[in-house]
Amino acid sequence: MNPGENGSKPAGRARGGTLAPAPAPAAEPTVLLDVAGLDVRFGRGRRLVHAVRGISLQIRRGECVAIVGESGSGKSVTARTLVGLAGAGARVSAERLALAGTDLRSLSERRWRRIRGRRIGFVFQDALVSLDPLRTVGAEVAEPLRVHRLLPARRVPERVAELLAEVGIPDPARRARQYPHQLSGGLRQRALIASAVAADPELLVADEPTTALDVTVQAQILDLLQAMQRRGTALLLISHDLAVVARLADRVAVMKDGRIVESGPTADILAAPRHPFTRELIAAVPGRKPPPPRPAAVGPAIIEARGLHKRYPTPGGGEILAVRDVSLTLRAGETLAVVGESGSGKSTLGRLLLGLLTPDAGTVHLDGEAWSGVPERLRRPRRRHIGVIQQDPLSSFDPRLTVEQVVGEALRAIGVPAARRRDRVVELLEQVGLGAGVLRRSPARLSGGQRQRVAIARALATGPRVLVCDEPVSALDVSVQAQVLELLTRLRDELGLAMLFISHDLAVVRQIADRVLVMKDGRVVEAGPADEVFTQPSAAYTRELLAAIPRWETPDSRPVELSANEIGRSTSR
Amino acid sequence: MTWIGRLVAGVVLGVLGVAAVFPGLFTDLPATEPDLGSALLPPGSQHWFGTDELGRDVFSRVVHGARYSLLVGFGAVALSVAGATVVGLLAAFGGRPVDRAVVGTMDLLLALPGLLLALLVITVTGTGTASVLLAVAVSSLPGFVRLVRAQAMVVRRSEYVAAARCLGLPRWWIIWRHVVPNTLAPLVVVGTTGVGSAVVTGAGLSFLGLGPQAPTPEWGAMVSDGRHLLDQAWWVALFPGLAISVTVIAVTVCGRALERLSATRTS
Repeated sequence: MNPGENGSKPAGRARGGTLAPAPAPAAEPTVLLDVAGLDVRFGRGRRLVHAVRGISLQIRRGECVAIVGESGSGKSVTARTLVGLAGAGARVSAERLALAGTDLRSLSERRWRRIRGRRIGFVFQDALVSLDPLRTVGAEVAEPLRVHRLLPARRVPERVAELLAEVGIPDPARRARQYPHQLSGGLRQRALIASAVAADPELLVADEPTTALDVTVQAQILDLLQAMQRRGTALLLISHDLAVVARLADRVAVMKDGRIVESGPTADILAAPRHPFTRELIAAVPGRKPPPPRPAAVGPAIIEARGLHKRYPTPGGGEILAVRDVSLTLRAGETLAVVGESGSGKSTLGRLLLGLLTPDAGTVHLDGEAWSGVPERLRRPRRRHIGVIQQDPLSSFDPRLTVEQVVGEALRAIGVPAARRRDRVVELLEQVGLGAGVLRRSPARLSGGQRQRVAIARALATGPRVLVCDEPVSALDVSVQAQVLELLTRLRDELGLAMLFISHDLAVVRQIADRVLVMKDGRVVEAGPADEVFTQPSAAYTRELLAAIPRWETPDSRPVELSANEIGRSTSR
Repeated sequence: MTWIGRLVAGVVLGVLGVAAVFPGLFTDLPATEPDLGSALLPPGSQHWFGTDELGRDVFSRVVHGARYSLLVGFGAVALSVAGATVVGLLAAFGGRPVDRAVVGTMDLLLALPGLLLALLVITVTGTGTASVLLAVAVSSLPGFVRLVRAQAMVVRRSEYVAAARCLGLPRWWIIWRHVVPNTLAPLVVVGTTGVGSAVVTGAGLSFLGLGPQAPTPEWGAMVSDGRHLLDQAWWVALFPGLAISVTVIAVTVCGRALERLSATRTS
């Protein structure tokens, strides 16, 4: 959010930001959380950030309300404000801010502590940083019980085990004695939920509870949240993922620039969005309209890998087989996607193909010549043929360099004389939809989408024939994601690039891939043309992955993605 | 309140710096010429900090002494950081045997107290300002080498170094252009904080008579000269001692401020 932009605009305070009037009047007894005209500002003067601008929101008991929006829309600030954790320097005002009749507006920190964890539970996005690494999971879950003195001390361990079992953690007694790092991501998130619900709060606020998780784990957590809602807990879900929202929420509020631009029953909003931003958000969801299959590439293989193996030692003296017997061929002009969950070995495979790692067994050939096992001295001049696009563009740039230096360095690598670099950098930036205006900017001062465009410009600078993209859009907002995918597709077609597209996101893969390779535990469990893999998966694991993707019904009441009869349907591309 | 502290520390450091280069701006009394007629005069309007056994003005000697302490403090740290950069990068990029050798040696040196290490160096090089500077530099080397090595390894594994490798850029370019600057940036901050302890170690060596020899107005040596006069002329030892403390505090406060500044900038 740019402070300069927001400072001057007047806040739409009077009626709140809600376009659709809230269905239930405030006086109705079932309303649990009642928010009207909530306003949150940070900083002052030129540094003023008006994060939340007069929003109104009501949640009834047992209801799930979702706030969707992109990064910087104010949705997380809203969530934190509801538990009194807006942050140092935040100035909060509201016409109404009440939990079942208790006015939350001017609570002292001490009174807040009696509400937080007791009456409102909070689930953060990243369980690993939200759990204390020095305390056992059991101690973490027991904390709200002890702090709020809900149970005699001797009965606490028993209740902790019960809670862990309730959130679906197997072998709860043993898990309670373990530390967060000993648990998988999904188990950690469940432990976090267990601690949030330990005191049986009336309202659970979940800020992107599944964003950091694999799709199969996400499905389990969503089931869990749904079960709790059925038992009567009200749920405020903060998410950028419309499919997740579609699955859980009764009502949804769409936030943009600190305002609620549209709200109403979830089905209505998703089927008939009225605000242009909501429409944009829905249109940007990947995989809704898969492109028609393209003819299979027949050119010569650019990258050919045979029987790749890679082991890593583990601290305990053992080893992990990150990649086991993987073979693949990538031809000019085609896009091969490697999909899998975290730890499946897909990134290691990418690094093997890039020549950043040496395989323990197997070979990689580039243009028919040996690429793996060749001394770096001989490999260096051929590196210009493979461009790389990494997941987090910002960390892929030296923090001290400007955009011009970042892209210029790639030109230097292929021997473009310094005098001609500036013009070429501008050309490349224009090719990716940026202008000369960003030349002197630091990438840190660009938006996520602009950064990834700079990374693409750098990858193109050496005139590559292959792009290896490792999760190139996972760090981006959904609308930006759609634009970057479009850019990649356009460049691929214009320049005849081959693309290796590593991703955990099947919907994104559906949008871009000609062929798909599904990996699990370092092995390829399924490989084939994208249509076949998505419509007639042969491996059980692929079916499991596809089933776990949350989806919603479109107005013509068909599942949003992956339905067989969508193939061959004309696309808007 | 804290910004006042930082401002004062900055001003003190600035004044010390000026005194080190142009001591004549603060006093026109000689620092080394004996004047036996005015020996051991207490502090007064004529001699602000009093005079010592040989009748020399203590204030003038403290002012003239600033250059030795600052030279040893900043010079030793600069020398040490420069050496540590070379050794640390060698360890990070020279392959496993080199790394093991460097880490082993540094662990060995770290096992010795810094002062002992410094004494060993002076045994070889003899006394004098240059010797003290070198000794202090060597004694703080192992810590800096560890830092450089660890930081260089972080940078080496960074995504931007991977990106540079994928572009086919030569190794020396990557080290020079990406690893060195990104390794040194945090080190400059840590180094500044280390200047304080270098000043103390340097003064300590001079106190033991291993630094610049008489009649050089070195603070540590002055404390040493004044220590048996404490019962009759406390000012001879007190003021150079205070000068050491003030310098160390000012340097440390400025170093901390720099540390905070760089932390907020990177976050």
